[in-house]
Amino acid sequence: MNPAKVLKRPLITEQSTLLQESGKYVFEVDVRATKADIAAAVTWAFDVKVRSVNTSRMKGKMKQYGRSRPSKQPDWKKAIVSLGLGESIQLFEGT
Amino acid sequence: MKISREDTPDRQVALHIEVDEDRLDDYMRRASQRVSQRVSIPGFRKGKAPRAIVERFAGRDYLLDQALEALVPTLVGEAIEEQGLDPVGLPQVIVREREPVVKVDAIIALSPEVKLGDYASIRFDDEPEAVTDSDVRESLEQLRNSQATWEPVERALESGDLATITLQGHVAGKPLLDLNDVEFLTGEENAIPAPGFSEELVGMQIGETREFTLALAEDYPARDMAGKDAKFSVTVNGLKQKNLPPVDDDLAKSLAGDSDTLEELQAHIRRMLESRSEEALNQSLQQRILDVMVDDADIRMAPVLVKQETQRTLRERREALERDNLNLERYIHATGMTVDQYVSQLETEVSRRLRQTLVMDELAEAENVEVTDGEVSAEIEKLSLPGQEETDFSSDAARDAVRRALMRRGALDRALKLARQEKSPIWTPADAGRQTGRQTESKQVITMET
Repeated sequence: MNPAKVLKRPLITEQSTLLQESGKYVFEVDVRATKADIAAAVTWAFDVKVRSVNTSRMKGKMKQYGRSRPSKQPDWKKAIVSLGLGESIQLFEGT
Repeated sequence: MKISREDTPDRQVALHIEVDEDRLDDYMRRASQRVSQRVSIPGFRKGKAPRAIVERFAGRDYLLDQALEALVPTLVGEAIEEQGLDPVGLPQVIVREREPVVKVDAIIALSPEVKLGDYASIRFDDEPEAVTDSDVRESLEQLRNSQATWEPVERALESGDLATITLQGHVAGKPLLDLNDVEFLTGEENAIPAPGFSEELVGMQIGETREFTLALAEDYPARDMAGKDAKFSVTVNGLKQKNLPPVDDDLAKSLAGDSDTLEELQAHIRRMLESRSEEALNQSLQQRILDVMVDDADIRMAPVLVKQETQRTLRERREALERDNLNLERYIHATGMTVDQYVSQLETEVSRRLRQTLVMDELAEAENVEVTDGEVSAEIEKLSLPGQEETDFSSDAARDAVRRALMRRGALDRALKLARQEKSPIWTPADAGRQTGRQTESKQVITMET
């Protein structure tokens, strides 16, 4: 898979910032991407070594807008990427 | 923290404060904590977002603002302490630079220094204006007028009568007035609704209707009507004539007070007028003495104090005007001044007022004017009477303000007595000191002469 299309965005939450301390970075990725795709994409994008990738498929939430019938948000894939020792990613400028 | 200090001769100190990054960083961290408590950032519970996230979310400038808001007063406070200054009022603070080194200028007013001139030698020997017989007659006449009764009469209208009229007025076909059964006091001095209106009514009988045309006054409130010809139609529905009571003992009895005869009443009026004239003289003298004292005194007062007080006054005026739905700028414009002119004029006033206050305070101190708690309470009671402006005097600050006002008043009284060379009726240590002071002065004069 084209590494440029694998990573959608970093997930920045309380939990993910905690994980960063142990060298784990959380991304939303393309649902079709495999662990190997994700590892390759991270290396391609940030020039770091990836130790392992854990993924989970997240069910889209049911959302209701106004009085309309509740509709389902698309499912998505979350990837927790563990980097090799001493490696780090700067997820945004200025940190 | 680096502080450089600049003293000016007019009791004002400028402090230039610089603080290094570490200190700022500490405050940035605290600011970010505060901000994250307040705003909700997606993905984080309140107060749990790390600083980097908060900074990205709220913007560095905002965090910096927040940090400086807390840091600057602390800095200025520390600097004042370090320099051992004793400031009056709030320092005027300007932030020169924010990053990476915070540079702050603080202008600090020190307590003003006042050296009174030789106030004990100020002399005014004006006498109160004498009360003449005609003054008494005039007051009596006023009292008589106040006791006048209105009696309905049936005759032709004369000037001075109180007429009940129905009135319609038109200017160029447009209605101006339409009044039914209003009471109208005729007389040459009554130029409402138009000059000469009363004269036109003279000679009218009850029930009569007259129509006439008069020019409205040039300063008539409705601008577009001013100076134009108005057609009036007036019907007199009733007439009352003024009955003045005769000047005799009965008049004296009918008035409040304990005068039973005309002579007593006249004497009473005379005494009242005399004390009023004395009072007026005292007040004008106090003002003049104060003016002289302010001019004679050597006052060193920080300009920033005047500036701040001016701003405060300006703010008060603005609020007062806004309560009446008026705008300060427009008000200033209406006076024909520019805002700058107005402010600088206000500044002169404020400076004068501050100087007067300082002189009075200094005088109170020099003359050992003392005010007891009882006097303060009595004054507060007087100020709390119905009809006075509602003010809460329960706080210590308010009591203190009353006390200071009384002290200033006392100081002025003392100055007045000195200037009129009266001895105060009650012997106080201050009086003793002043008298011995004067004696030694005169002794010195003698020794110099011999």
